[in-house]
Amino acid sequence: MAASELINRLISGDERAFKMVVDTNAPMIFRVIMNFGVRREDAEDLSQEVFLDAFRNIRKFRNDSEISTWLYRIAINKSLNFVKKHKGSKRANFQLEDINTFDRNWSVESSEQQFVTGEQRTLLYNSIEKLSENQRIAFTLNKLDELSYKEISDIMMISVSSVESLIHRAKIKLQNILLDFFK
Amino acid sequence: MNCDFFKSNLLDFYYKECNKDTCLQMREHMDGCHQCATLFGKISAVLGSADAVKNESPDAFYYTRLSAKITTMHDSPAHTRWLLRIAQPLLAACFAIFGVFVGYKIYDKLQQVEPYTAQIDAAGKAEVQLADEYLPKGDNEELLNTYFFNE
Repeated sequence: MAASELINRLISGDERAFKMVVDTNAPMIFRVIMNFGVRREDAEDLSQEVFLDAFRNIRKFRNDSEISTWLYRIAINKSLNFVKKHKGSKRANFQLEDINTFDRNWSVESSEQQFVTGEQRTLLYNSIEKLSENQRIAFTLNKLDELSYKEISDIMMISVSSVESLIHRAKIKLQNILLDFFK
Repeated sequence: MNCDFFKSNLLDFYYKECNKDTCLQMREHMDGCHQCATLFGKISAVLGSADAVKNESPDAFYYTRLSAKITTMHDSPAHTRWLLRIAQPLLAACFAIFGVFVGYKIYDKLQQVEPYTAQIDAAGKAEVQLADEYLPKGDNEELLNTYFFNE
């Protein structure tokens, strides 16, 4: 289905088109939000808000980018606002339960190991939080969500070379933060 | 390669973004330097801890809950939601004012009861006065002997 047709169907309130957009994009939007350090249960709510906002404002959508790119932008804004708002509370509570452990082998990974992994993840998100906002977005999208520089440049509405530069600086800063921690 | 150079390329090495020669030198350095190898192990564990999120996905009822939210959104248009946002605190404020008003009224009523107790006090004083007038004057011991011990 062409993007413009899909948008038209969404504007006309076609539920099947909406379901298609949700089914296609929900997992990646959900993961993007989680990768900004939001807890699983909050990430579900936030990702639903992303779709609700998109659905409400579908008439404002300009056809100059992919709908997924637009959803990414909404998701990133919502995640950053959420993390800012709940700084020190929800973030601090990012725990093992936030990862759906039932999907993995409990028997293989001991609870102690899971605790260590949780601590490491908290350290990672806390370190990433110390980067500047643009560095943080670029780094998270590239290294954690595995998006290409081109996709990131579309989402952030900056050039590919700027993305490269942001990620390079983010890596150096993050490296120093981690080296300081393990000194 | 020294340890400082190794540390300055750690993240590039982890993400396999250093050039072939540097990567080779890094590996060789780790083989000979236990400290750097340990450090790399720790940093790899931290960076790799985010990998678990890659397998995450919303639960099975995700779309059901989302469509329920959409239905609610359609059922209550924007102006109704705003009205609710204003109406709820207004209603709460009204209840609070009503509570204060009722409390004041009750206090007022209690204040009005006080003159009645004053009346009782006055009546009591009059009785005491009357009793004083009729009670025989004299020695208390004599009175006790007369009335209580019949002597």
